[in-house]
Amino acid sequence: MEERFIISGLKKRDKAVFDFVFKYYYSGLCAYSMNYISSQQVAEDIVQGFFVSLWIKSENLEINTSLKSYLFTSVKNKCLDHLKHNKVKESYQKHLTNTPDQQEPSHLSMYVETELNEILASAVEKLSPRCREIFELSRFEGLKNAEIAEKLQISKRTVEVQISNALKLLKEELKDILPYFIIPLLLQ
Amino acid sequence: MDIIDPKRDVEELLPGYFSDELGEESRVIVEEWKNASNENKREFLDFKRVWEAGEKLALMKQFNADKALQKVHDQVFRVKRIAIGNVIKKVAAVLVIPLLVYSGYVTLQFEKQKNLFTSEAPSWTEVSTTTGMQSKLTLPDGSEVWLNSATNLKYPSKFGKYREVEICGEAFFEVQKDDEHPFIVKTGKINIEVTGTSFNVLNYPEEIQTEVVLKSGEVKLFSGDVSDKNEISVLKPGQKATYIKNQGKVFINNTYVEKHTAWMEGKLMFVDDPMEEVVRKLNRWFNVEIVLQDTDLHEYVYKATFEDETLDQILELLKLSAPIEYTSNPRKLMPDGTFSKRKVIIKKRHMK
Repeated sequence: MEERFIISGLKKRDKAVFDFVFKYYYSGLCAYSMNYISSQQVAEDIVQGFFVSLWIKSENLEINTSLKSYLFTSVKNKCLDHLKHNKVKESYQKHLTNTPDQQEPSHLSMYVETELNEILASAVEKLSPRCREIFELSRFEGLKNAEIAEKLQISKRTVEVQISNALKLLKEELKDILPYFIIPLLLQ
Repeated sequence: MDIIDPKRDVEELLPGYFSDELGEESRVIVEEWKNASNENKREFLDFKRVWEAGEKLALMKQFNADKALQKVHDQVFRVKRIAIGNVIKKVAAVLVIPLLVYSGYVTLQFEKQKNLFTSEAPSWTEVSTTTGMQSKLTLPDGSEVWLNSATNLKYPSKFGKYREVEICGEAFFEVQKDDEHPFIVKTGKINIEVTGTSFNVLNYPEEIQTEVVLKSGEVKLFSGDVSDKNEISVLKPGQKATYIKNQGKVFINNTYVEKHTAWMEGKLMFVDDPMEEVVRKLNRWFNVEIVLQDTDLHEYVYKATFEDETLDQILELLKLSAPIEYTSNPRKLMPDGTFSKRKVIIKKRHMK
């Protein structure tokens, strides 16, 4: 759907457009909220609450950036409001100063399930079958390196070398979007 | 010959570093490399981002957008009750003053049945409420019946072996216990047999389904004649049986009983009911003709309780919670001297 059409649909309270936007961005917005909020339930409540207010205030909706940027920025503000409300903002601010400089999210492919899925799937396809198998066990199924080694009856070192190769190749494939992939809980 | 490449060594340590499986010595090697230059730091970050991309995707897959959307719909389309003044309460109270239309007469269609139960021909009584009216009456056996608007109840002036009544519309029954004389409610295709119990029956001709909701006791559903029963199911308290008329199917599920009996207290209660049903209930409650002009309005779901609100207040509340607008045509004097119903047309709201 075209961006302009979507925004005007939201303003007109078009239910189909609203539902589309919700389904497309929901999981990504929740995952994004979890950079600020530790509870999955609270993160979901915040995102749902944001969409409720989006519907109620839809007539006065002002979007000057892209829709995606608007959604993620709004949800981030909701998260910060929540933290402020719970008087933990201060400690979070302290935490923020320890993290690398963060730009407003301008490219959020990493937070839209369908988009990330597409990017990652096409990049992973370029790995050799063995390398891919090991990488998927590690990153998609959350297995430890030692567990993968045991499962595949290979040495732990082979697992680490294969994952390392995969990381290097994927880093090349994903280099256009990586600078925008924000990880606040990094480099303490 | 081995080429010593310290960077390659570090890269091979990263998978272990990220998954926290490295020994102290190797960890220090990674940290030292990372902190050696800004370039290394940036590269480390890129590796970490790739490492986390898969996890992020796995995390996203844990969120169920469909379920969440349903929750949001529930909130968005919920109508909040508003506080209203005493004046309106008094006016609204008039609406629920029972108005009973009594007309005792013998109907031909009962001619056959009456001979089965009593030797003498009983006379059949028919009680009706019009749209917007409610009523309560006591049957010859002491059972009590509350009639919702636009409802018709037929019963014999004297019960025989079976206590048999026929309902068209919506009614709540509180049946006197009498095992010797089963109480039978006929709705057309589906009939209800009880001995002593309370339940709600919804059986309007314009509805696509007949509903039986059991509050207490036990009822049996059957089709066919009392003397030749074809038992369908037994209902337990809190259960609702829904008979889909055009499919001839019966569904049993648990329900929120208060929702189905709120009308007896003069309340209109909606719990996740589609707009279409809301409109049908309002039409009967207020004796109006509300028309939904856009078919996609049908799927809006409402959660609301109305007690003393006027139709206009309710329409305004609906407007607040869904993208609709409405136009209202006042009652017109018809050629035969009667007044037409007030007609309300609900449309999707379009912004300029």
